[in-house]
Amino acid sequence: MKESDSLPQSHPLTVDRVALLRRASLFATTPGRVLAGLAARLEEVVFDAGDVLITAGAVEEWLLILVEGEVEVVRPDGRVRMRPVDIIGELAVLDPHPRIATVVARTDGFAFRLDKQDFDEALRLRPEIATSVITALARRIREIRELGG
Amino acid sequence: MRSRTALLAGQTTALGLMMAFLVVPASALFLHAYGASTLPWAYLVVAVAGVLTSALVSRAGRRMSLAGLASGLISAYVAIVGASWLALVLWDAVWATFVLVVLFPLAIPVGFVAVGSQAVRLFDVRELKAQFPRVVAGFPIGFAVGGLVAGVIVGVLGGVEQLLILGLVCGLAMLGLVRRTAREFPAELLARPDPQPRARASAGVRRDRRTSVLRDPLVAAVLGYQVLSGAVTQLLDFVVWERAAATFTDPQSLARFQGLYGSVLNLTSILFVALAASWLLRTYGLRLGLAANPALVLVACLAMLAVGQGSGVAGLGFLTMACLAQVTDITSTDGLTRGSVAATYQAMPPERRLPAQTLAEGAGTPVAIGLVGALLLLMQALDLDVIAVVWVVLVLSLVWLVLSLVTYRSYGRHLADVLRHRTWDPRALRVEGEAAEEMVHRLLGSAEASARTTGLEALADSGSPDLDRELVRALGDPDPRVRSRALDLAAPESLAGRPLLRDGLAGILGPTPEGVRAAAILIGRDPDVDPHALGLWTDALASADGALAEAAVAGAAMAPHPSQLPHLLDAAARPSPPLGILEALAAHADMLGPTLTSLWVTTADPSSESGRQRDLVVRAVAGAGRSRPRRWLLDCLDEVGLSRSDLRLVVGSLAPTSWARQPATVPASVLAGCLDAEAVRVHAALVGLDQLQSAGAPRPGGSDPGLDLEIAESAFRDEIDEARRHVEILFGASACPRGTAWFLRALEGSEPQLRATAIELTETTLGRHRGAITVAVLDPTLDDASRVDALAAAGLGGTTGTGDPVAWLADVATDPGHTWDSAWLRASVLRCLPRLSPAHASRAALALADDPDPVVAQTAAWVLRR
Repeated sequence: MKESDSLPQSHPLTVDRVALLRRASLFATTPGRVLAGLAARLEEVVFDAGDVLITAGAVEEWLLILVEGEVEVVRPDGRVRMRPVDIIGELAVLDPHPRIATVVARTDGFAFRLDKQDFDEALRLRPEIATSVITALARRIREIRELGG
Repeated sequence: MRSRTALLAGQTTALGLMMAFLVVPASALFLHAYGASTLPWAYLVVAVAGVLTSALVSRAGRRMSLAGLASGLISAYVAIVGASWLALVLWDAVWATFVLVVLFPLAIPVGFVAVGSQAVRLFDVRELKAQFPRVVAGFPIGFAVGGLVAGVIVGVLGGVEQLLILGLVCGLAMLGLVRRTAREFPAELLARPDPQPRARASAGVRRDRRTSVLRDPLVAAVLGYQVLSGAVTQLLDFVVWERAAATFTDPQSLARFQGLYGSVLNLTSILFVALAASWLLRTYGLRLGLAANPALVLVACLAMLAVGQGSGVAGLGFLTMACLAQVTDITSTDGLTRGSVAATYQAMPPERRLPAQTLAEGAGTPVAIGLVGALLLLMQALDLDVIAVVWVVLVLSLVWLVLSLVTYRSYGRHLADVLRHRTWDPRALRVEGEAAEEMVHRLLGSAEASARTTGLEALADSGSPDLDRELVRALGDPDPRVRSRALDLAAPESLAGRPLLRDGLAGILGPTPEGVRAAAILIGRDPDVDPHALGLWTDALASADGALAEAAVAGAAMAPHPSQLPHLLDAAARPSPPLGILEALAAHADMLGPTLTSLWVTTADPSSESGRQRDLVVRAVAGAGRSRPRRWLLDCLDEVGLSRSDLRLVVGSLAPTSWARQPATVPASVLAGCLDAEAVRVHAALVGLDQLQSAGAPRPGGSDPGLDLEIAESAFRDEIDEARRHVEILFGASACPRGTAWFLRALEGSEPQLRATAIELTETTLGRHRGAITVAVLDPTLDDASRVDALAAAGLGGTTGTGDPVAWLADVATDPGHTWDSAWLRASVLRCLPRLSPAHASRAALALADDPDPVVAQTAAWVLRR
């Protein structure tokens, strides 16, 4: 896994980053201009197939937005394949706890990394993002219930 | 729709014929036998009989289907006319004409209650506005034909009274039409009303029911409107009959005049209804529909007075003017007033419509006629002539005109209630009588905290003298919820003359949340404010302990005082102010004028101290209730140079919030310009999407999804979404400050009646033109193309998409006229220009290379580097 300060950024433009962010369900309903500030704080993470992006048990306060490539989430109860533009590890920025799963890259690709501090600042200044977060969480709860039921 | 209109118009035509064949013989025989001076007595009997009939119809309406009710009424009419005819023919009983003269003014409103209540069930509010004038047109057609026939054949029948037979035939025809309509629409017309919860209501309950209907401002306004309408119509009728009786002295010539004049009168009405009424109502709406009749009568009275003062009342000139005045009144009544009044009933909850309609139309008119009877008797006693009657009509018309505007305003407010399905407001629990007092004391002594709180609230709602003593006791309650509620209840009123409560509050002062809130109450409500309280409160507000700071702002929100304001403003400038700061500032809105004025002109970064302060002060003032600074702020929405961020700030703050417990309505006139501008933005952004399609289509194939086009499209969508949200908030601030979710649900159209009412609400709130624009912007059922069409149909010009689409988009990117005032849109459109036209892209990027907005400048630099 290589961080962008050592590589040329593939999406340096704020408008591009915002467009990619809006493809993620968490930010789909947030207006572009509201996401602009957040997009500027994103860090690009380039990875190769086989890279471990997240390790279960680690205490980290950031999430990943998968832009290109495929990753696999390995949990004790099974494996889940994730594709662009899924968000990985968002619970860590909402309620920091040890990671519950390991995430391994299956192909080459890249993601945006968003730190909790930047996420919190964005939430404070732009309540619209909180609305989207609530909507996404509600959707996630419904999906879990439907799977369980 | 067509069959409904035809069947109802058939009923009104039959009603018109019935009335013509009733009034011509009845008036001619009555005036010949007793003269016009006896008419006021007939009017008094009409009043009494009318009230009884109304009560009877109302009672029957609660038990019978609409079709059953209408059939019963027509059968009763046929029976009365048949009996009177027999009395006249067999026993030469002229007194029977008195019964018929009384029956005539009763039968018209009762007939219209029967037809109108069917129409209300069969049409929604907008259909009603379009179709009801056509339905009503049947009445003057019937009356005109009947009058003409009566005038022509009266000489060959062998007696004026024989005309009554024709009326009986028409009555039976109407009965047949009512049954036919019921068979066509059984669900609407044959359904019996739901049984009352208590079948045998006591007299007190019945009185309460009637009073509760009357307590509704719209019912009261409509009743007043109908009384004045009925009184004016009756007075004009009296003037015509009185002058006609003086001019035509034998029954046959009088009957011929009544028949032919009635025919002319109703032909005029038909032409007006057919050619103008429906269009006028659709174009100018209910405001004109309600106001036109009194305004026209006012003018007619002035003309009558001019003729009366000039050539006197004895000649044909005055009779002609009186006839013209009556023609004006009847024409506008048939064409505009009846339809408009019928539409106002749509703004009432369904269970109130028939009682209100029966009360206003069934009883309102007879009461008016009774008042006219009493007035005319008084005028006869004072030996006043017919000119005095005209003066009375003039004054009544003036009052009627004012009441029409009151009725219209009340109608607009009621439409919102119908859509919200709110029928009753919660009432406070009242403590009256020993048993209730004992119950409250039992609550206060309960082991349950919630019961103790309820007891306190009951005392406060009732203004009990025990309140202060119980509040002081509750301030020491072991449960914090009870202590908190006690502070809530202590805060709103002054502490002057309440030493017990003041000492109780001073007794709990201290660095605890309750102690700090008590300090805030003492500062805000005690004229002899304790300096210790002020020190304690300011320390708490500045404290690092969040609970104390929150308690300080919560206390200030409930008991505002000028001495708190500078400290609250300091708190607002902090990076993380207490959560309740907005509510506390809003409570001080009246004092925020100078601060707002000075902050408004500063352009500050929202994350800076002054930026945070500005943001919070603006939001607090905009969201608070009525105040001078709020009005000033709303006026700023019309400023030409208002930036988009300030527009967002003010408009966003008008959205309903939990802390604005009683949001104040914003006058529509204040928001009109802003609303128009946002609608233009929606239209322009829709054109932008279309231009993007034209310039970019066909989209490049392959694996690339076209991120650049997606960016520009999203930016235009953002513009549309934001402008629509603003229109929704602005409309909501004017029509329904508690929220618009129910309005949008109604507009979605799952229930056509609700959708029609929602559209009507926009028109009554914002006027026809802006109402149509608002619906075009907000209607959730429209796709992009339909929305563009709807906006164009609503008369919105603005940006058009003619010419070269790439050049058009390049103009959006550079925005030379600051039309869009959106840096995000400029950057987004610039991002997609290289794909569409590298030349346009380069030119636009050169122009934007030094743009102050970092995202625009970054995008321009990227374009130039390519």
